Amino acid sequence: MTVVTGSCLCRSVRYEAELPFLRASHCHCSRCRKHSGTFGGTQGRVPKERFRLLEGEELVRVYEPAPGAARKAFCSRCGGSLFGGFWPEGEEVSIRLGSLDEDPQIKPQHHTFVDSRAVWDELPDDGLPRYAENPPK
Amino acid sequence: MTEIVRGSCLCGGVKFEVELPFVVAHHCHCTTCQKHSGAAHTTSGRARPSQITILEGKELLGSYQPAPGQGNKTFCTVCGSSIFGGAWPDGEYVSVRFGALDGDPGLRPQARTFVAYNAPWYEIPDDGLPRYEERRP
Repeated sequence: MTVVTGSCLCRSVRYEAELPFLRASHCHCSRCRKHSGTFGGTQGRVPKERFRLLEGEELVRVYEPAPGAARKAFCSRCGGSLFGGFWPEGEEVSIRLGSLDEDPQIKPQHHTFVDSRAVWDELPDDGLPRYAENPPK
Repeated sequence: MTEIVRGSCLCGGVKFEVELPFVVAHHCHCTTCQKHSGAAHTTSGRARPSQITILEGKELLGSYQPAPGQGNKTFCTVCGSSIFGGAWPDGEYVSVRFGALDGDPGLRPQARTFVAYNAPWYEIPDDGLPRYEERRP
């Protein structure tokens, strides 16, 4: 069993996840862009039972952009972006890959919501599939 | 006529405007930028503080400085959106996250910095931008 650890920038929030990640992607939607401050969000998913929050749960703040919309969970002390999806109730945990301290042994597999990308986001050709909105089911 | 670009965080609580032009823009791949954005890098433009006006929500801004002398990370404490950085708010130049902008910054990212710290899960695309191991000279 391989476990990777992750933490926010100030390291007050720490977690671990058992590999493998189920999938990973870059999302260029405007909500991910606003939250991250860059082109969008990059995240990978693990089932809830393979994830453990080790420290700092009281510092994790959750913002829900609209009812039912994917959430943005971050450290209230340092602003480090940590989790998305339906944290903390979701069956899968969407982990921001930038918060990991170790190699998740997966790389983003596609780009989603590219039709919503910023005017300055030139989306260079990296060979990954691109989807206008969500990936096909 | 002075050209202005507006910006805001994800929850809309913080609103600002920047008088163009930005002097420089880049993607920073350093570890603190990964942790803060949750992505492989931040993307920011630099401007003088006198070019930036906070229109609303100044009281919502939180700031975290990873280490003395390092650029700070300034974010909305409600939604976790990354907004400003570098020597915000007192430096000669400060960073504005491009992801927070609602319009065209007029400039495109021109370089990739701190690529020596690039995440193991991210392949830097072959986009022709100059890459610097650490700071841009």
